[in-house]
Amino acid sequence: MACNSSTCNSSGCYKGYEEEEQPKPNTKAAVNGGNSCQNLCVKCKVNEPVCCGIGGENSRFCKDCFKNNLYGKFKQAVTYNAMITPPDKVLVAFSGGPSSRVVLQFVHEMQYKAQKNYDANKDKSLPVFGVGVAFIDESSTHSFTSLHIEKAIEDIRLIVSNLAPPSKELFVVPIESIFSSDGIDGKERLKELLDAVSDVTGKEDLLIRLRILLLQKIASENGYTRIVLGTCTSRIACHVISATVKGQGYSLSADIQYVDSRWEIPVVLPLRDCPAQELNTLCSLDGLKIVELLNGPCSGINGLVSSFVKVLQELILHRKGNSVSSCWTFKRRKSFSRVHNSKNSWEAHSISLQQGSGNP
Amino acid sequence: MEADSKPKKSGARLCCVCNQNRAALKRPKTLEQICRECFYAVFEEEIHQVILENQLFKPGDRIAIGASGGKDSTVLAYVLSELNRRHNYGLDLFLLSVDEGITGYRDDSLETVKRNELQYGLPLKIVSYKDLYGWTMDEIVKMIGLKNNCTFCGVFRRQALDRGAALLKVDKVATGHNADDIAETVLLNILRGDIARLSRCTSIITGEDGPIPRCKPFKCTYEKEIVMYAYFKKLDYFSTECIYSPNAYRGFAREFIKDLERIRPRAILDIIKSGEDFRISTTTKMPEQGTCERCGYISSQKWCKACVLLEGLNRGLPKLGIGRTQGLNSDGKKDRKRDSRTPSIESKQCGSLEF
Repeated sequence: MACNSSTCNSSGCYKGYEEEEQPKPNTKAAVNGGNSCQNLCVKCKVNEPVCCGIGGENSRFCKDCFKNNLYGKFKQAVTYNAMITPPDKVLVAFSGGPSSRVVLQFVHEMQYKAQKNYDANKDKSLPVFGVGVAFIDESSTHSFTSLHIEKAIEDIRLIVSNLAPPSKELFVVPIESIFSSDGIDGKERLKELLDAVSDVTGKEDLLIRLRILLLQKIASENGYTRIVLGTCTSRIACHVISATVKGQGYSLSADIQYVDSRWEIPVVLPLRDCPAQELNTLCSLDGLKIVELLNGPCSGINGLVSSFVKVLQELILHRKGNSVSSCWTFKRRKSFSRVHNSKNSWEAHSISLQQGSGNP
Repeated sequence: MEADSKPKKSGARLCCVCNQNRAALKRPKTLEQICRECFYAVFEEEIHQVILENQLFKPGDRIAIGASGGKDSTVLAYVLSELNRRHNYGLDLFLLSVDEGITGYRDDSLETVKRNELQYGLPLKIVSYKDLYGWTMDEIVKMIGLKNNCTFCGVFRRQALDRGAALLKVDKVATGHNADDIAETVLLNILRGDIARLSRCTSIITGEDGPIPRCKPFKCTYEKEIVMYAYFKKLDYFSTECIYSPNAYRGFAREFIKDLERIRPRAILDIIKSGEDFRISTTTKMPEQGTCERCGYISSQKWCKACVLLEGLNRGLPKLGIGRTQGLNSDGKKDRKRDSRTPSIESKQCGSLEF
């Protein structure tokens, strides 16, 4: 199963079954040298490794290489799919969790580099893309104390203000403003809408839908041209199964593309190739603050699917023994990478598996 | 509609279809309260509609029913002969059974099939692995252990059914694969990333370009309803799991689907619908169909999978043909060890994961 990138060198990247059979000289030497403890980062072979990639014992990276690896995946997804171009204004959807924190950080770093280039360049031909951040306040649908939500919003303001220059506008929008009228009426209407749905799964799915609709509204009212979500591989894997299970097979292929251009403001997923585990690790390594708003575990079908995916991950790890391929293979397969690319045509979206396209 | 949101009322409820008899059971597919007679009627009618809408049979067809002695094939034999009579399909029905040579399991279930032959008046033909391949499953498991045995059994069974069907000179083979089986297969193919199979596994008729087409009249029938039907009608069937199946990967998919059914019974049909609706890229490379050089069976590689596996057994190389390593078909080419078989042929209870 070939990796998206022909130049990807990370050990965590799974390049094909035949390679799995042959021992990798660098890791083998290290393993032969001692017990499971490897002394050098597998990438730069200079620094001490501090963490594991998705490949487990055989992909121990030092902090810099680990971060570069992840950032590299992000950058590649952005460039290859033309997600962010100089004239764009991108709205980063921020939930407070690790994936959105990482995507915000990476988008900021990209913008920062672009700004530096712009300042250093006498030409000033290519403008720097704009970045805004949107946080949706769903406290009216959950039972948070107002203190809890206010603290969370404060933390978020702090995070965003620290990510300057270049400065980013922050939108804190309550979910009920999906209705055009003012706040008070909106809360009642939202409650009425949600109560009308008796099915637990249906209610959760409705909320997800309202969230993205609200993001669309914020983006179009404020002149943004792209919406960036921090959706990671694990979430895509869960979506593949839950969409199948809900009878949404037809739209599934369009749901999991890097760029979803069915919306008025295209929605892009630059972290699509990054596993949740690595994003979590990056947050703790780099001290990226996460704002945990405990919405409670998903129940119904969505909760069942995420526990199933977890069980399978562990099963594959356990069965295969060699964890180099296990988790990554599973997620790669689940991610149904696209072969056919057509951004504007709904019908042309298609599923293909990189592996299934003939590469052994 | 969620199962747990319905309050349970005490007291007799009327059947929601006839409104006359007392409701005897809750229909697993729709959670309707229904009486026995109406349940039989709606069960049989739905299958009849599936047969008509998909034009599964035509008058004068000779049909072999894959009979294992288990609930699905017994109910299939019963319902098909009943519908054949009631609606004048004009079919010649036969029972076709495969003896894999699993002591304590298959020999008992074969007794059930022999009883079915008498009970339903359908002629029976048994084909055995020993006759066809020279190996019983017991011997195979002794050699290769318990890890990939389902692969062997499934591949061999497919060919065995085709050979038996050819001996009987039938036009089609009907198998008892039910909605749960097909949903599990869709899910498994997704998890394995097997796009080629994914596009084929929801078809109700498969192998039309092969030796003998197969059909699955129970494609929309829930396993729970088949069990209920067999139980209430007191049909004779064998209900033990294959003794070699516990390690199968399919078990996880099955557990998941059972949990799903509890939350939303429709989900099983929804999975099948999703499977039908997936849009597959035309640039995905699909295996091309040819014939096996050794036995002439259809195959996408030089040798069909059964021949590869058999060669492995005879040469004492149990891993030959298992997984995606280079095998007999290498010749320096990196071919995939995939033949053009559809997942419908794998044993219904299990199927090991090939990495």
